[in-house]
Amino acid sequence: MSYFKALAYKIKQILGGIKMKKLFISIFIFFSPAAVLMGITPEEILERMLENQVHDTARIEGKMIIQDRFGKKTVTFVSWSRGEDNALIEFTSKYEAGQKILRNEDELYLYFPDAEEVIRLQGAALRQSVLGSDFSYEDMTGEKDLLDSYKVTLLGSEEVDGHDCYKLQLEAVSRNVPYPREILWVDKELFIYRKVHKFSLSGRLLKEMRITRFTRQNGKVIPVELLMEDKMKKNSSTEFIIQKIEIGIPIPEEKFSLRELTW
Amino acid sequence: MRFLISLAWKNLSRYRKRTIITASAIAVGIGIYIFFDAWLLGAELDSERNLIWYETSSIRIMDSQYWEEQERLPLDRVVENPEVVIKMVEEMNIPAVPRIRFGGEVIFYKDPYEQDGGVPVQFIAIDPERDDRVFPMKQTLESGKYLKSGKMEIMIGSWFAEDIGAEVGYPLTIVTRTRDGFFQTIDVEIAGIINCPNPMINNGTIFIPMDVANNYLQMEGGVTEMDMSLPLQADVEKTAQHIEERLEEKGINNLVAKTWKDLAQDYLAIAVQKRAGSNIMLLLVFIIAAVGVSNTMLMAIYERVRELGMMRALGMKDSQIRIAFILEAGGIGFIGSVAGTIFGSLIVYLFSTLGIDYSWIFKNMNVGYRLTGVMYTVWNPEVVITAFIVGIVISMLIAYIPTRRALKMQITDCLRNE
Amino acid sequence: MITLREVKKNYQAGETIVKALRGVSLDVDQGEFLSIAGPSGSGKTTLLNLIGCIDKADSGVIKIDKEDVDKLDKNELALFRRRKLGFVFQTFNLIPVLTAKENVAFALHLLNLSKNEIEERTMSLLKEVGLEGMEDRLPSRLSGGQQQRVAIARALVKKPAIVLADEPTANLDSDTGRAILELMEEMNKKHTTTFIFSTHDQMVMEFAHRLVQLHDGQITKDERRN
Repeated sequence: MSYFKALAYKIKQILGGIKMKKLFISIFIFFSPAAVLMGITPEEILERMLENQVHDTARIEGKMIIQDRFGKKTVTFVSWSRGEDNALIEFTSKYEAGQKILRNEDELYLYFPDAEEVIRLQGAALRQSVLGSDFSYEDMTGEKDLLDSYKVTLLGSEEVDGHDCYKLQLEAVSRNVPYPREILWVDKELFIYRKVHKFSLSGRLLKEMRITRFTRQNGKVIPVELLMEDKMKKNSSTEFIIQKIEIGIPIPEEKFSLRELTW
Repeated sequence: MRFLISLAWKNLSRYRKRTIITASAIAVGIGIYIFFDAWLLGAELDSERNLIWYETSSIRIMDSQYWEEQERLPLDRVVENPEVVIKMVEEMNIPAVPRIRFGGEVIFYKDPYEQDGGVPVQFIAIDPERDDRVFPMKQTLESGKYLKSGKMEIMIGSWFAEDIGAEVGYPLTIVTRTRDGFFQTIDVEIAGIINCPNPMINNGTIFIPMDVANNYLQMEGGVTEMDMSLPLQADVEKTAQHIEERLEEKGINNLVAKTWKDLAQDYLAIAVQKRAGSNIMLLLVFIIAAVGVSNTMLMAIYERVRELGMMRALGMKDSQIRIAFILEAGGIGFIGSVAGTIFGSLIVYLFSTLGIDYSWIFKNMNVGYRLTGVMYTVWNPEVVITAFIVGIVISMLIAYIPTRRALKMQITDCLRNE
Repeated sequence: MITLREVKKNYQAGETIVKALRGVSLDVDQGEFLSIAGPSGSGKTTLLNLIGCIDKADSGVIKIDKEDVDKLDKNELALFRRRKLGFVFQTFNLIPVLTAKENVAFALHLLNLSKNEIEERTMSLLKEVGLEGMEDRLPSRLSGGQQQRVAIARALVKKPAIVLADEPTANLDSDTGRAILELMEEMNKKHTTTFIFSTHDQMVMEFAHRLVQLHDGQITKDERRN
């Protein structure tokens, strides 16, 4: 059963216009009997998971519900993205209206409409949290480097919320990532992560991320509800909810320019 | 001239009440000014000492890039061979110690604390065996023990402890980042609580042993700073320059030596502002003296118009009459200055031994001064003498105007005056 | 030693100009005991003030002791008064914070004399005016007559050429006034100092050796007696 699903998935991928490297690896894996017999490699699991998260183009409307010991705050936004490298987020809720974040590869810019100021965040400044949530600017720029920055090991299988998952361990090989170790539970059927644990260097669980809802579009399985919990503090969490997502829509080049940022 | 002085002095007793009131106003103004200045001086001297002894040390050596970015407490701009530098400095007969400064959060939980919480703090990793060569913090230990190398424990300030409800033996978890940027957690226990006269330390700084920090932060022997101790009034700029020259001679070109003045710009800015406030006070004293004396002299002159006419008729020159009145005003100023100086000096003496307890202010506000509790006044003889002289001089100068007006009158009109 | 020629003096009294002296000419010799009499508003005080160099004439010549005083400036006039003129006022005008002795000595301090000389002359004159033993009293502890004696002593102690007295007995009872006039007459004889006093009191006029009467700014009578 899963074999046919995989086949259908592959065809859709090819039609969707993916990168050549991934295409090649995917085809190889698909046609490699050895891989089919042995099972899937941890790198591949990760790859396929990432593919679900990275889109050629996407427009998202969503919100973040930020909870800490002082209370709850809801922030709404609209975002446009292209591939792994470009994203523009514009906040639309009352107190944050007009604030924007622009990402182009490794560059990150913030725009504050009240001050009419554009700030570039670099280095340690990226460690700051986005609007007090459990996500940092670092989190926004780092994900794409997973395969380069971490060594992946398959620890086995485990059930999460009644779903059978691959349990992957990521150990940092690069010194440029915030979490030296992560554990991912990747749904065996859908190739989305159900749960992620992020650890400190001395092994303490710092954050837990869970996907609570997903949707399908253009042959992809897309997480639309995420819960990120700070495990060090009680009552500290951020819910990330995608209310509307459109993939593959045309987005003009200038959308990700600095000029667009100040508009 | 002598008889003019004698005449002026005798005239002062003519309007005893008025003279006393005016002189009292001058005395109060001068007394308050002397006290205020002594109080400020005390605050400044104490602050400087607390700054140097507990916060900045006299001179700090760090990587030049670190100096540019010190706000963010970077761990990637380190001094790689601290012992080489320390040895060099000690050859100059200056005690020096290494420290690692980093930022992070402390997390604590209900039980044993009153509630859960997380607070951003500044951490300083110290070498427990050596640190007191430069920072006399051991003497400020209020409860518990001083740090020991190798132990997973920390020291915190008493105000901070009070804020979070911590006691000796309580656990804390530090969340921070390593030198490379990895998230790191360190579980520690509170070994000691210090009550340091410097509020910056008492409020938001946590001390941890150097070897523990080195290990957990993956510092690989690097430190963020080396601190040096010199006598309080030493010429720190000159020594810092000397140190930089010696470093260059040894081929170490990436380090800079900053004095406590470079490191405590915020304190210096406030000290200057407060001094300006003191000068405004002096101006107010001038004004009190001027207004009081001017009024008194005006009344005195207009009551003696006929007498003035008589003196002029007798052949006294206008200039002599002017001098007589100026001396009289100077006499009032003199009485006021003497009384004010004694009054001010008494208050200064009182508070130099008793002090005023301001801890409730320092705890809740950052007033810039590095003081936690009691403020003492300090003698400043220069200011006392200045205030004394100013009281007399202003009084004399001010008398000039009403005298001038009176002398413009015709002698005959003066004599006709009732 | 005093010469006045066509001396005029006007005052501004509100909107009107008052002609106090309308061209007065007068000669006074050394040692004269002279009274200037007249009703109030006659100009006698003005005349006294001009001779006393405490006011300036609008026109005319005033010569005192060969000095053209109308040509002197403020400071020169002060010096002139200091050396040559003595004053006795109706209201005594003693300095209340100085003793009798100090009040008399005041005039001598202005002349920069030595301490010894000041002491000597002061005590001598106080004795002459009959105040020996009261030199350390403040004016508040002296009677009107005694205060005027001090004033006379003060006027004479510097050996002036002229003593000017404006209504010297106006604030004294008749007996005391008489005693003061007798004292002044005695001093005039003894020191040959010229005495000029202004008055509208009949008794005072009778004492004068020469009576100059003023009316409406002009001399109407100039009479020598004895």
